Amino acid sequence: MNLLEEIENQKAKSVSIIGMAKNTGKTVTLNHILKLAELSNYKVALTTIGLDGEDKDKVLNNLKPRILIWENMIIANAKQLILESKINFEILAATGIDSPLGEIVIARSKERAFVKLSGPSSKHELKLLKKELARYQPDLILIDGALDRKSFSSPALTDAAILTTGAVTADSINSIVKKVSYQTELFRLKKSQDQKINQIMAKLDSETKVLIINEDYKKRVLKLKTALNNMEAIIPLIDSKTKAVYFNGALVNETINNLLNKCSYLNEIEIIVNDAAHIFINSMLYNRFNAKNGSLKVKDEINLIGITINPFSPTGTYLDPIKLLKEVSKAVAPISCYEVVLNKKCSNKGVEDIGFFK
Amino acid sequence: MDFLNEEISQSIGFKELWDKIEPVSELGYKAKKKFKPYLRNEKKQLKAELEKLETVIKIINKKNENFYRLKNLLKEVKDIYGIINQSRIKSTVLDDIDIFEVKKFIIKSKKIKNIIDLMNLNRLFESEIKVFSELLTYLSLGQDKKESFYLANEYDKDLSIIRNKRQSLEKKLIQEKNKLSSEIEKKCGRPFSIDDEINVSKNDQDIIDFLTKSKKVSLISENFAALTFKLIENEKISDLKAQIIKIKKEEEIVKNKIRKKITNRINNNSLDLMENLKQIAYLDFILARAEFSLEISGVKPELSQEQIFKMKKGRHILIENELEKKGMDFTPVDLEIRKGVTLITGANMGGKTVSLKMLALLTAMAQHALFVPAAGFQFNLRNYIYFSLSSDNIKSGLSKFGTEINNLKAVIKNADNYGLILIDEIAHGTNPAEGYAIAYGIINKLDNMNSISIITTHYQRLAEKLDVIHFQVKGLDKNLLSRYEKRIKQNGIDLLNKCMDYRLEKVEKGSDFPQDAIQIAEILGFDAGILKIAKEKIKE
Repeated sequence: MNLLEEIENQKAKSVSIIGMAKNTGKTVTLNHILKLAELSNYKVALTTIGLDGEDKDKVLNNLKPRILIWENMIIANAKQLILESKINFEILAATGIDSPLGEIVIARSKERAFVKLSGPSSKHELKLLKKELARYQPDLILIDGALDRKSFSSPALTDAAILTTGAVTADSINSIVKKVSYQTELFRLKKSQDQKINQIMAKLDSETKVLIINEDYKKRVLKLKTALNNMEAIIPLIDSKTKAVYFNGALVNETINNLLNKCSYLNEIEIIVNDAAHIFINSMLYNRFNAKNGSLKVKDEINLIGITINPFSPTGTYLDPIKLLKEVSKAVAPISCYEVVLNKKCSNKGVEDIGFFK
Repeated sequence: MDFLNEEISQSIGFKELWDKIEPVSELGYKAKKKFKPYLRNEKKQLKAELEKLETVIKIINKKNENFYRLKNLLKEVKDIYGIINQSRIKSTVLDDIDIFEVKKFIIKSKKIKNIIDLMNLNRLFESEIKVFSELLTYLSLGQDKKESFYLANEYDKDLSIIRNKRQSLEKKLIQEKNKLSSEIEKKCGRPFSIDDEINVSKNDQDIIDFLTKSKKVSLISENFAALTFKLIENEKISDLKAQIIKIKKEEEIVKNKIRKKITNRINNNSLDLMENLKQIAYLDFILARAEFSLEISGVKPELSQEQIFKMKKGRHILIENELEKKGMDFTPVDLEIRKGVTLITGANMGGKTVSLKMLALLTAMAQHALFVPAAGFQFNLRNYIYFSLSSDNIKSGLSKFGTEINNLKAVIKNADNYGLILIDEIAHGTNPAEGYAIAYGIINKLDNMNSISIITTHYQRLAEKLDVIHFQVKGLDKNLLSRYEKRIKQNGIDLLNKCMDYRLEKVEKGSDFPQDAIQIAEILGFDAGILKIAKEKIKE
């Protein structure tokens, strides 16, 4: 199966491509999927998460447009980029979502061309935009995302996610494999097995920062601006009657450290976060947390359906692509891995060519 | 003097209420922001505006489902003043997104017009909301009259010719490329990349052999694990590419010419479009005011020719809400005043301040063209409202007395300009003897000026010595008090609230004033000896 067939197989209507870092080959992967989609006559809608200020200049001045779109494809893009592209577009909607490069506009392309893309910068806006795009009934919504603490461009927003990684993330194949296998482990985190807890989670609003659920499913909402600076206030409230504690926002080393050191009921409760893209704790700490029987759950699961690897790093390193592919694949099985530039895929069946033409 | 300054607005609760009026569109918000209260010389306009508001309230009160459709439509209307304004500048060419916004606005305008016709709301406007059929047709050339815009071939013959030419060139280019690439792609089992490259792993020796022999690709790079081949661009392809670049430039020139034409058409309609924007902004704002008036069960204020105020069962909405949360009722207050000074006396905690704030609030609401929370409210238009700020609002570092005098200086200077002057606890920030004397002077002066003033005070004697109207808070209700006496003795002073009658009553000269303070002290079990002496002292 190639990546598009994997998407079809999962019946995914929306897919996000998440880079573990810059230069992990996100755009190459995106173009790869777009090519597969074009060959299958897919109606595609495409958007991306926004740029930070630094990237703004890069996009405007230096970078060549690198994403190939074709006739009838729908994109959500910043106004400035739509206008300067000179591409023939039918303007479908102006979303009211603002970005550094102007309002996000939804448009249907009338020709085959290269574009630069920039989208909304918050998860909430991305969610709205996804809904807007769905109004045009595409076969597939693709979101070009990233893993960072600013946007949480959550892979949990889409039916499926593809992770991109590569030589840029570490010095050796061994350490790359460790990193990607840890990230994959996080992406596999599940919802609570307690359906009553999940029901409570489903009804939460985004304003709730910290929530404690007790054995009788009574909720206690803590009115805090962040969890991070208020662990001293939170930990004493966790007792033998606590079933779960929910943290909205990023789960960072400090939070887990505090819990490990000061919370005596850690092994009896579930820690719940929005989704795995909100977890920014290092693997050593995560292992300590697990060793103490800590239990980490998510409000929304991520459906990771594939990993692509880029053996190049901008510093000039070029790792053995097939070896890297095999090692990563072994560590994240049964998820398939891809080296789309060399057209290779690795799964439990070993390395094979990606099937392009039917 | 401003009609109502920030601090006073905040202190009487008007700011909080005004914030509760929420138009749903950007336009409505702008209309609200621009809104100025009606002053004395705008009596006719305010009367007309209040009548319009009454019309709207009657219509939406019927739980009209069109009302919700209308609000949903308004939510989606954007403020396109900027775009319309630009269209009026000679050198401007609107871009496709601007044109899209104009088209969308016209479609929304038409939908809004349909609904307000159905709801009979069109009488709010002197002229009808316009529909721009011709412009809409023009903005829909070669496409549906739906909310999207495309610079279609139908706008210009040249555009159609150029585009056809470009498209056929592009088709040729793809064909040429396919001729070169299809065999290779088939053999390699993958397409060329967007850069016309194919990368091959050194493990795929047969593909490498094939590509190395092929004359259609050239090896451009190699490392220990892979090779990169690039499609060789033949002359035909380069030529086609150059032609396409050239024709795209021509296309862009024609497109800009068309955009200029469209911009001119929009400019021709710009005044009417702006009028529509204004009407829709007004509509959204008056709907918000109407909904708010319904929410507070307001009545239409009545404008009086003379300088009098008659408030019947007035309620201070914010305080009422606060009390409701505590399970308590707000006592509505009646008040009749006229030009000159009115004094209000009465026990502490007797609601004097609340009554003052309420009058200020209702007046501010009425002059902002809102209905007011009362059973009836007759008023005379004011040019400003002054409410003396209590000590917690003092910023300047002056003493309480100093601040008060400073404020009063400005008030008295303007007191012939039809103000509503409300002074809480006049001159009580200084020693009683002097305070009394100064208060006497101020009241005497204000009573002869062209304003309406109400002054609350503990200086009971002011009412006796001056020839002004005098109200007092009814105070402790004797019947209730005897009923609750035991419980108050046991449970403390909270219950006293229940025994207070916050209504105001007019006091004739020479009548006794209620001695609530002594009575309260008695109920709370204060030293009987002290109270006995106090009673005797008052008689003196």
